[in-house]
Order: sequence, then structure tokens, then C-alpha cells
Amino acid sequence: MAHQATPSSQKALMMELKSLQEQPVEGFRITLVEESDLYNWEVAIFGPPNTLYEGGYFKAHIKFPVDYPYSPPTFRFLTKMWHPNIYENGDVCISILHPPVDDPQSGELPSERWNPTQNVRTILLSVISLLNEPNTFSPANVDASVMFRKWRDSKGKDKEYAEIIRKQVMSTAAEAERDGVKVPTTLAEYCIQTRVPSQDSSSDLLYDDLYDDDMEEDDEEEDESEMESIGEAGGICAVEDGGTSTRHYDNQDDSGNEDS
Amino acid sequence: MKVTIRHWSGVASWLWVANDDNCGICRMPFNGCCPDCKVPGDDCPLVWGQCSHCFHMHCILKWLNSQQVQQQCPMCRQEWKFKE
Repeated sequence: MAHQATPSSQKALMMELKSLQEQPVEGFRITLVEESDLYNWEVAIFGPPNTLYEGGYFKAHIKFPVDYPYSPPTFRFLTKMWHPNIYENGDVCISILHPPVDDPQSGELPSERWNPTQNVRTILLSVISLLNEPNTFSPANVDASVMFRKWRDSKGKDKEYAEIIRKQVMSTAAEAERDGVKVPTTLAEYCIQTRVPSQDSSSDLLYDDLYDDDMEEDDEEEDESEMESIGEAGGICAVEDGGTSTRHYDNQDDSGNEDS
Repeated sequence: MKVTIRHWSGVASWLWVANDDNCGICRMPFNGCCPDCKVPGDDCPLVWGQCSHCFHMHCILKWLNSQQVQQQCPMCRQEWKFKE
């Protein structure tokens, strides 16, 4: 490994960027902060419809270390966010962005941490699900966490949390206008507009297309294994939900059999 | 017609037989080499774990060596053991 050699992270990042621009994750737009710097990405995030974040236009930067994907990137919101798992400075606190060091204080299992098969796609999916499902067990913003719990436990009667978020969402309209972006507010817009059709049948692109498909499959596998490991780690909510829904299915199946 | 062969060259092609096309760590094709190598082949071999996941040897070693805690397969997070 000579000194001038291009770091392997460069190749990995180039491939991920290409894949994410050709087949974006719903609700995300990815660009480079500066054309010449592959290690700094700008992310524009559309708030998912039918949530508190609907209509929001949020900006974040992802910074990659030179030994990516062996070490995780950092994910920092530039838009002000009031959220239990986002620090004052915008840094997002999720376990998959933490290296798997042994730290019993953190409450995070090594199995929930970063590893080199994670990628920007899995990070974006984690971030978008975190927005509406904060983890109150290890808050980065304690005040926001307390307020969120009041809102959740009162089933929305205590409106303070929701009002702050809506206010922040409203204030992002100016930024969207400045960037000339129309923020999707319905599920249909949110899903369709972010999908870029790239049906080019020229032979040069054939290999690339195949390749992207492979990447997709990889991601799905990872997501599954991630979910499994969360289940193992004792995600109480997930287990309970699984139990009830299975019972539901059983009942339906039984009644179906009796009828026929 | 009578043909006299004066000269011939043998050509062979090879492939790694892996359960996937790309290394999950460096994301490069298995039939290529890891990003730190220049030529594919025996100098940049593939290795399998007992969990059946496969990586460029250089990639998985780099990851395992950077781990202070229990060594796990980055794909399935089972304990990593090399398959003989």
C-alpha cells in the first residue's frame, strides 16, 4: 500500500454515491458538498407525509472517514432539529453510527453497532425511521426526550412537542424555496417523485444495471439481519407486536378453515 | 483440405465460485481483487466463515484485526470462524 495510492474508501464511496443517485432512497436527495470531495455529502430530507415532519425540508451533512467502510461516517443535521436523539449541534445519535467498542455504559450492544457491511442506504433508513420513532432510552437531548414522552403518553393531548416540531417544519419552507424544491406532501408524491427511471438499454449500461440490482439485494439481506439482531437484543415492542399479529393470523386461518 | 498447425496458445479463464457477486465489505466484485491489491487471483483470495459468508481475505482480516471485542461476521453478526 503505497502512500500515493487512492484509498479504498474512495472507490466504495464513488459506487455508493452512484447507486444512491440512480436509485434514491425515498425522501432523500444526495449531492456532494464540493464536487471534488467525495468524503463530504449533503443530504436533503423530505419529511414523511402523515407524520409530524410532513412538508419539512431538512439538510444534513454526512462526513466519511478515510478508512470507510471500516469506520462509520458522522451524520449531522444542519437544520435545527428538536429530537430526543439529535444533539444540540445536529449530530445524530444512533447505534449503527458508533464503532463496536466494548462500552457497557452506553447500553448499546456491539451487535447493534457499525460494521463494514453497513452503508449510506442503511443509515438513511435508520435516520428516517428515527425521526418518528425516537429512542428514549439513550437521549441526546434530554429535554426533547421528556417532552416527547409527555406527548406520546398523553396520546397527543400535551401538544408542546408536536408544536415545536411543526414550527421547525414550517420554518424549513424558506430553505426549500431558496433551493427551488417542491416538498412532497402526499404519499404518492413522496414515493414516485424520488424514483428516477433509468431505463437505458444501451449495452454500456447493462453491466451497471445488473450491478445496482445486486447492491439492492445486498441491502435487503442486511436489513433482515439487522432486524433479527434487534429482535435478539430484546426489542420488547417488536416482540409484542409480532406476537399479536401472529395470533391474529392464526385466528383468521382457523375461521377460514371452519368455513370451508 | 489439409491443415498444418504450426503454433498454438492455450487460453483458460477462471472464476471464484462464491455465493455472491461482490464482497460485502469493499463492495468490489469477487472476481476482481480487494481495493488494496492490483491483480485478482491467488494473491487476493476469498475466504469463507463457518456462517457461510464470504469475503476477500484482506477485507475480512482488516475488519477482524480492528475489532477489540468479539469477532463477528459483518453480514450476520455470528461469531466469525474460518471455514477449513
